[in-house]
Amino acid sequence: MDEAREYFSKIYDEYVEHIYRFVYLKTGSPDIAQDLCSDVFLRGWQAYKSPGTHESGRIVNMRAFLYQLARNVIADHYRKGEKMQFLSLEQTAIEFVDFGEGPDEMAGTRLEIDQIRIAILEIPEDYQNLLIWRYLDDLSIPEICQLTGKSEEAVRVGIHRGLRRLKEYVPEALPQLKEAEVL
Amino acid sequence: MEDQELAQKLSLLKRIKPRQDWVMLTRARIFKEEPSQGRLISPLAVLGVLRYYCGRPAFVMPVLAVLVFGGILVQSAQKSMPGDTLYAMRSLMERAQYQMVVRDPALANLDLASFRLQDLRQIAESNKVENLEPAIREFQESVVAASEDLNKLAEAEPRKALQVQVKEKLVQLGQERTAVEQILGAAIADEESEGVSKWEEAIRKLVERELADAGQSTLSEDQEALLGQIEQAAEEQDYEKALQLLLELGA
Repeated sequence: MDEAREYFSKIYDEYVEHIYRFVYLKTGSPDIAQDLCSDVFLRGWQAYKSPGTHESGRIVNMRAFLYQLARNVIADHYRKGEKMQFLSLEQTAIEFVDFGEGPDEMAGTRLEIDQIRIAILEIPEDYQNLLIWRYLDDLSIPEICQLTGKSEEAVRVGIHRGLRRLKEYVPEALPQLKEAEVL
Repeated sequence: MEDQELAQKLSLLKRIKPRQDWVMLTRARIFKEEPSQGRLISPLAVLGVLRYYCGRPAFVMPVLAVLVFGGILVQSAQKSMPGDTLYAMRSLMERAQYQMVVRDPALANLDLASFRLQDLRQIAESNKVENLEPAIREFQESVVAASEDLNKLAEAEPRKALQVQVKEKLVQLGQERTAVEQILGAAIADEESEGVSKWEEAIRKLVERELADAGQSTLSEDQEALLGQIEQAAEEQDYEKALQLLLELGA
């Protein structure tokens, strides 16, 4: 059990930020993202610590396992009738990596981030996931293939189409923010 | 827009990250162990046993065994951390000891808050995640208690509240807290929490009283310059900095 715990603890450290960001981009609220992300790792640990799982190496790809859990948890969340909440970065106390910019520059960056967050929600979920894994998690094409079970060609085409769809929703200049509501 | 430009915009989203205190607390929640089934021995039960055996020389060894066991229990309790079974015993012993030795509740509670920070530091350095949440909670409660007593002291005996000993303990506590937060990589008290607001209120009142007091004293040129810095820190609501400077003023 100690060995399994130590291993899963490292998995947690490695993936918590990725899973949190993934859930946050899909739900729009840091509070909901925290709840759902906790759920992902709680369920993950419950599954992992069951007898024989660690020893047998039954879960071959932990990343794929956690992302699948995350997608299930998000789907359950919306199945309960929850609506998408879009809170701008100004409205939330979300943590934000500070590169020491001045206040005006920081405000501009926050607006750009909100802009891209709105845009990414407008494209189909499969494309969202491919773009998140490729450009946020910096996964290679073969690694994305392992997550999706698709061929390299299919992943490349999906990323290309995802970018093309995203361009339709990302204006050249900074936009006026408006709330997005997804049923 | 070119693909590269769009990819760069997407990369901006990498800057979103979860709060570190949530990351730590979630980890503690996930790996929380079941509490152990150990029981504390009641002191009355120990006394009862001693009274029975002391009149029976043939049972000296069992009496010694009980005394030794009691000693081991106390020693184990002293090493316990928030979240451990014997921690309640340790907490009681500390409070009893401090209430006997240190007359002033405000000073006693400041020392106890310092002990909680030392516990937190030890837990953080040894990565005992299961103890982290209880230790943070204990620290926050000790800060609330210390702040309340300090406020009462400031109302009832302002001179005593302004003693160097109190100020030194407050500054030291602030420095210890900063050091622990650096190890943990996160704040150990939410800005909106009761502990933080009471703490800041206690320090603010102390600083205001000191400033009023200093305003009526004759000061050297250097002291006047220092007082100016203290007033500025107070205006910026950096009361911990103001308190530190007040200590230098008094030196």
